[in-house]
Amino acid sequence: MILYTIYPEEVIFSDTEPKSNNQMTLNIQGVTLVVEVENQNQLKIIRLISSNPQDFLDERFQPGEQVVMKPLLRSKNNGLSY
Amino acid sequence: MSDEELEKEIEVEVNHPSEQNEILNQIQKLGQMKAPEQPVSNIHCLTIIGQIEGHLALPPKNKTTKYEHLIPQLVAIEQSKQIEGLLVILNTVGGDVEAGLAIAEMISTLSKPTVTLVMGGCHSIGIPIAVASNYSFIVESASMIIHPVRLTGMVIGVPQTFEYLEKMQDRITNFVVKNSKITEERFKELMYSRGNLTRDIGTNVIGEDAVKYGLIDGIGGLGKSLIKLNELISFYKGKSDEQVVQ
Repeated sequence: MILYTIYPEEVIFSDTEPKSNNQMTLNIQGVTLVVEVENQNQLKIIRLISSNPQDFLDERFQPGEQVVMKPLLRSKNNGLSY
Repeated sequence: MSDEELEKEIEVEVNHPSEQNEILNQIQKLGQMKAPEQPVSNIHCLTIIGQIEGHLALPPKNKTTKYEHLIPQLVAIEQSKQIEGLLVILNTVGGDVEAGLAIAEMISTLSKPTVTLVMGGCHSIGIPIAVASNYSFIVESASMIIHPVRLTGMVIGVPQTFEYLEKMQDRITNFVVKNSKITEERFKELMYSRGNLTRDIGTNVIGEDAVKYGLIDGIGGLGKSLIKLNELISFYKGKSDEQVVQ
């Protein structure tokens, strides 16, 4: 791999800051969101990745908004959700 | 039904499309007014910011644009019937050569009208992306640093390494020359000139100079870019109508 950038390599690869492992990329309603896990079932939107400019006007996807995840019970036998 | 038969499992709700409305109701609002319903946009926009990340994931403190995010978006834009044009906004310090060239090739081979807009800075591997579109704009205050590809890491054979680096350099130069009005001689002259950058060889090309050298097509910001893109869209539409008649 060759980097062609104005930043020196030591700036790019110096790992001075602690690694934040609690971020993940999810697809919600057809848009890609980078979210941070706040606690067990709560996520905070960090970044919206979309090429559709209208998605950025949608207040549901604004950075800082919270997404709540609910556990879903699902039977493997008959496909019913509880 | 016994518990074994039921085999209940816990799944994250967002993974199921049928449950998506439910989750959206649960996205907590921060007391903002609901934005008015927008018509579907016929122009999509890509922002290429920070480092262009390729085969190697960069440490988390780097702000990056990842090619695995951009490339599927470009495919979707090419395929969509609603999307008629693409605006690419660049403010990048460069990054991975192969990822940058891949994005640039994707933009240049897109069959829909494309306009790039350089704001802030667009350096190194950002330059091929900036020239990849049908028409490129730069704002007066933006700068583009043209410098040679640098070598880092272990060198085993000096002539072989030099040759490899030269080839890498040529890939970039050829793409830029092919997609802009700059000549190869002028581009190389800017790349290897001394005294412009304090500790390096190369040139910092600012706004109007980029247009003067033929690297960028015109000076302008967001408004001009959208006017140009709409102009290209209607031209393209007219052209495709003619083809149908034939």
